[in-house]
Amino acid sequence: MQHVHGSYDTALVVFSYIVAVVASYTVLDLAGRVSESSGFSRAMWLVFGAAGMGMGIWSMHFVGMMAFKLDVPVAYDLTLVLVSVFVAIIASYVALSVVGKNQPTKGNLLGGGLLLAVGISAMHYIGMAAMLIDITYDPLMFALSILIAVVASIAALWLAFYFRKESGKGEVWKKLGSGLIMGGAIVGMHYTGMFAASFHIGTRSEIASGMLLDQKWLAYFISGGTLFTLGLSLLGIFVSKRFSRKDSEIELKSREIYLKNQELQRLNDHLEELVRERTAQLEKAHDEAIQANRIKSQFLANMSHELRTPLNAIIGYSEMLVEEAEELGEPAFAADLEKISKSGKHLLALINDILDISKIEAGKMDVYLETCDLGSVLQEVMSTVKPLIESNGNRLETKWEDAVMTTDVTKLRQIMLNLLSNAAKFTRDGAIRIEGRLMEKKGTSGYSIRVADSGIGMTDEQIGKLFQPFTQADSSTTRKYGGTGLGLTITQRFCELLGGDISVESRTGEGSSFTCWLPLGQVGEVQGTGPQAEKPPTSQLGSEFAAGEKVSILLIDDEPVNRQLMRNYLADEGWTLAFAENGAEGLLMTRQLKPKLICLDILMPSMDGWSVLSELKSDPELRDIPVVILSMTDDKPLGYSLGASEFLTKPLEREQLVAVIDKYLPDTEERTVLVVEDDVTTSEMMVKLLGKDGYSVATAGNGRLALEKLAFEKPGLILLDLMMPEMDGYQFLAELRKREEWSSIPVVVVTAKSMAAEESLRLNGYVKGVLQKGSFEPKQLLAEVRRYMNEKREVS
Amino acid sequence: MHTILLVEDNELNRDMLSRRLVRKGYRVLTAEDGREGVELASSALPDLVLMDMSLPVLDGWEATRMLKSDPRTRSVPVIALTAHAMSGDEKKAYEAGCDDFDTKPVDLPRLLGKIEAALLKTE
Repeated sequence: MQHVHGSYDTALVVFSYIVAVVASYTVLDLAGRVSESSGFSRAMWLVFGAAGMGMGIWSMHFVGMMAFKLDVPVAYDLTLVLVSVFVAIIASYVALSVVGKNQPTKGNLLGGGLLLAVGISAMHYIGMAAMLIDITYDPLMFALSILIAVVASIAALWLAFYFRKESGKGEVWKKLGSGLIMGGAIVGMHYTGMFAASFHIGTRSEIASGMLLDQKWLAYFISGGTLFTLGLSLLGIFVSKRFSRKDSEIELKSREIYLKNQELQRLNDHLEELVRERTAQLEKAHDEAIQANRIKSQFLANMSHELRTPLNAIIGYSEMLVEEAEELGEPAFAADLEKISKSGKHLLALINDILDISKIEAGKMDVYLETCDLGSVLQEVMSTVKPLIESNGNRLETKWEDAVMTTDVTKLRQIMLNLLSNAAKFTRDGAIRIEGRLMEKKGTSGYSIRVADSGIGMTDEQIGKLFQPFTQADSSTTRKYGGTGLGLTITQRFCELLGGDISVESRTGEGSSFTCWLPLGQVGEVQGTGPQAEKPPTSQLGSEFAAGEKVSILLIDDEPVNRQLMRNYLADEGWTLAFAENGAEGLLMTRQLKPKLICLDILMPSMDGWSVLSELKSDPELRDIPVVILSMTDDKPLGYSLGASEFLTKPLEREQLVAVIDKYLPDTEERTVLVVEDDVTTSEMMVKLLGKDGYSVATAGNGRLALEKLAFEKPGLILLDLMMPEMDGYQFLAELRKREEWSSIPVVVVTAKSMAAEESLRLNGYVKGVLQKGSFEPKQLLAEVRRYMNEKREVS
Repeated sequence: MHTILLVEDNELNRDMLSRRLVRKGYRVLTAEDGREGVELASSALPDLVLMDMSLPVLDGWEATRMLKSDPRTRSVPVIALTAHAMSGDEKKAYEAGCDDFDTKPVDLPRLLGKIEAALLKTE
């Protein structure tokens, strides 16, 4: 065996190192690029990077091989060369995918490093094997080369990862530094491996079988190509980084937008929640306000009543005493009493005005429209105020056109009275003039009434406060001229209420003039003047109740809530319900439906429960229908005296209601009486009597027939004659007691027989009562029947 | 001499008004609630009834309705007196069958005018 010694071409060795450094640098750069991208572009970067890096490492190795010159020409096995390239690329791919991970673990780095080392080593030794020359290896150096490969690979991966994490200033220099180290490691591995090898000519050294290469130029050519490729890669990375910076900026922006959007969404959700909350609060407040307003109105009505009642007495008594004092010739008393009376009247006027103002403010002031002749209304007002006007030595001048107006006459009258009495109050020995004429305003035909006086007049400042409540032109005015200070406020509000307006012109010392304009007709609002027309409910009755269906209970109540409540309470009881929403409808429905029971509310508009009750009880056809009063008030005595059967106070309790109704609407079984009697006349009499009282009656001519009937239908009570053909009363009783389900049926014996003590003893325990034929009155019979039926119900 | 039945639950007002009416030359009967008023009217048959509307036991509207539905008392004029002075009251009173309406506190001359007018109508 001939040993072959090799030498190195220094330029190529340096060149191989440069290639290794550039490749390393490219890898470090690529690692960052891979980690920043994802999906398809990541895969592309991986493939592209792996190819570049693999080629770089391989060409370093190849150039290194080229730099090694042997004395003899060496041929290369092309297949193995290609395999070595492929292995380099695979190893690079593995390495890149490890470092390209966003969060590679230590295990990842170690494993990836080992794989990379295996790849590089494999590439190197496959490349060596491609040399068609016999090679033996120094095991120590061989191991060292592997170790260097492992350490260099792991270090390279770790560095790549480290720089990606610590990216910042001087990144390029750090990468370059580590590229130099990594390049050195790769080169070191290669040359250590080369050093481990000793070449000699042997069986493999057949030049003809391989390809001979002009080593030097080929090496330069490959290295140049590789560097060019790597340079292109770096350029690609650089350009793509530029773009990706833009991309990442865009991504950052869009991420910001996304976050902003999310925040907006959250805010929006929150806002909706807030709106819901606020809406609920508002609804509550609204309800409360309505409730408060209702309470206020009620309070005002009560106040008015409560205040007026004692005032009534004060004014009345003082007026009475004035008359008496005058009669008795006590003018001093009369004068003082007059003051009491006047103060009382003033107080009354105040109360009235305050009530009016409050009603206007609460929107509770009703307007009652009627058509009137303005001339006569004004004339009437004139005659009322004339004495007042003349009492201050004033002249009254009138001039008006006749007209017909649809308005609230009472309020119109009050407006005129207020204006005229004001004029009279503030004018002395002057003239008060009233003028009325037709006048169109904003396309509406109306009537203008002007009240002018030559009185004290007002300053502009006084005019400004004129229509505000409780402010007269001057507080001293009140002392001098009296009045509540509400008159003009009310006048103005009334004008507005009637669709018109009022204006004032005045000068101090020259008098004032008030002009009130009102429309001739009131458009659009015809106010409800009294209770709503009671619509005849005939048409809807038919649809609601099928023909022949018997209505058990009719509820007459104006409150829909109560109707719903009854429906709920009685839903399971199997009664047919009908509802009437006012008294008149209730009476009509009662006549049409003939309910078995009426539940009646008392407080209803237009026709209250008492009226309905008296009407019901005065009608012979309806008199017998039991009426249960359901009322807020506790007027039991009146209810019973008017003929009510029961009186329940609201709020109702379900159990109580059902129990009471139950009393009047027992099950059919309990309303059925079986009359066992052989005498037809007696039997018929009983049927008639019981039928009138609402019982359904079955008859049987003797005991046997009665048992047959019993098998068919179980009655609530049996009226039994004792002396009958075929099967008499005693036998029947004996049979009856044999059957358990019949033993509970109460039996009343009706007999013409005068019973001996022994016999009544025999019957004792078997029958509930005994009536002597001919001696009992119909009432007594009914009372017995009712008693035992009720008793039975209580037991069950 | 005309007989007036005054149905009024407030003792002071009943006393005051009845005395003032007596002074004006009427014979006055009094009742404290609607029921009593109806009973007294049916038995004594006055020439006129002054009916307060807010009365215990049986209110003025109902009492008037009962008076007007009884043939014996149907023709007796009823003047409603109410302290409410709500615009609806007047209408309600007429619906119940009242012949006239006046508000409390009573303005005696005005009320006397109404009483005389009502009495004149029935004669």
